[in-house]
Amino acid sequence: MYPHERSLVKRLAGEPFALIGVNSDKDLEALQDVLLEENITWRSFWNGPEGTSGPISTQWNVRGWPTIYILDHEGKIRFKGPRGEAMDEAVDQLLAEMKA
Amino acid sequence: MVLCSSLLFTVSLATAPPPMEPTAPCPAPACVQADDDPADLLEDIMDEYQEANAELGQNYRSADEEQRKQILEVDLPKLSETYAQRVLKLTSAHPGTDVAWEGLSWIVSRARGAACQADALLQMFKDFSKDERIGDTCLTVARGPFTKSTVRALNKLIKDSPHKDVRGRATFALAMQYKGLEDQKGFIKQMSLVQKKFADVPYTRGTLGPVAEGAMFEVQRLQIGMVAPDIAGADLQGVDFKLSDYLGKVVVIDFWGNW
Repeated sequence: MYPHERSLVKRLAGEPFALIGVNSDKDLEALQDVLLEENITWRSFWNGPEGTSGPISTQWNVRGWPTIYILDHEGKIRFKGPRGEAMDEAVDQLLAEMKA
Repeated sequence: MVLCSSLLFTVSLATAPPPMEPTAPCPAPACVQADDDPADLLEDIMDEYQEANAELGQNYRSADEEQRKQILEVDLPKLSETYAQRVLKLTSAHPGTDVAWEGLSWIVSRARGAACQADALLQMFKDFSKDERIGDTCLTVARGPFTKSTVRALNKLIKDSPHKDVRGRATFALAMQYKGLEDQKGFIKQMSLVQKKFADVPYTRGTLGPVAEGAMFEVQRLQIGMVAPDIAGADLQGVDFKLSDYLGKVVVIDFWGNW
């Protein structure tokens, strides 16, 4: 999953776009190495020491990982779940809409 | 063979804690021949299923894409259906017994895709409506399939069951059925009842209260077209920020973990 997200972030650098993670690892210290190794440059909220039972994923009723929501520039939920190419297409569509 | 069947039994029991309690008098040993004891017959059917299922699994691993599709969409449902029918025949001959409970539970939780799964479920709700174990079945039912006959069966169970935990789980399952059937009013009504009356009823982990809250939030706040609720928290370096800081940009929210 990281390679795809890295390439999306790279491709859309400079565009009005952001990838925001909600990370559910329990061990924040151990995660720091992963961020470096995997070159994870995008920003994430930390879901807290309870991991997948943390407050953000609980409130958003997340039951599977990864879970994806895509919001338009007005903050509206426009897509749920698309991954891979479908994610790229959804983002491109919203960016095009925004510029239209 | 014996080891294998006892393993399978452990699996099917694991879906139905707490431990077995007889719900109806067992047939007197005198009138049952050793070789047609229904419990043994059920075990034999499950052994056979296990073998056939393992064989299909082996075929799947060595199959190409088209063959895999055939296995998943045709062969596997057909296998489930064949064995579910055999189990159903056995359980119908011994209604209300522990064997019936075991057999019907197996169909409902394991024989996914079998056409007679719905029949098994209705039979189970009918014959075991007063049984406390039926609460576990409700949690399975909450995940689908979503049908009007399931909605009717759950409504009846909620009326009939003397156990609060069963009524709570059945109400939760009913709400999830309405969600699956895209009946938002039905969902909200039942899920509010779960929150008001059954928040302390045990769920697989924890209780129904937080689960109901999450499900309500999702339906009322996280639908396509709604403005996303804000998120406020700290990033992985401990710096506070908000989702709303990114208004004006297209945002992908990715719930992830390094596992």
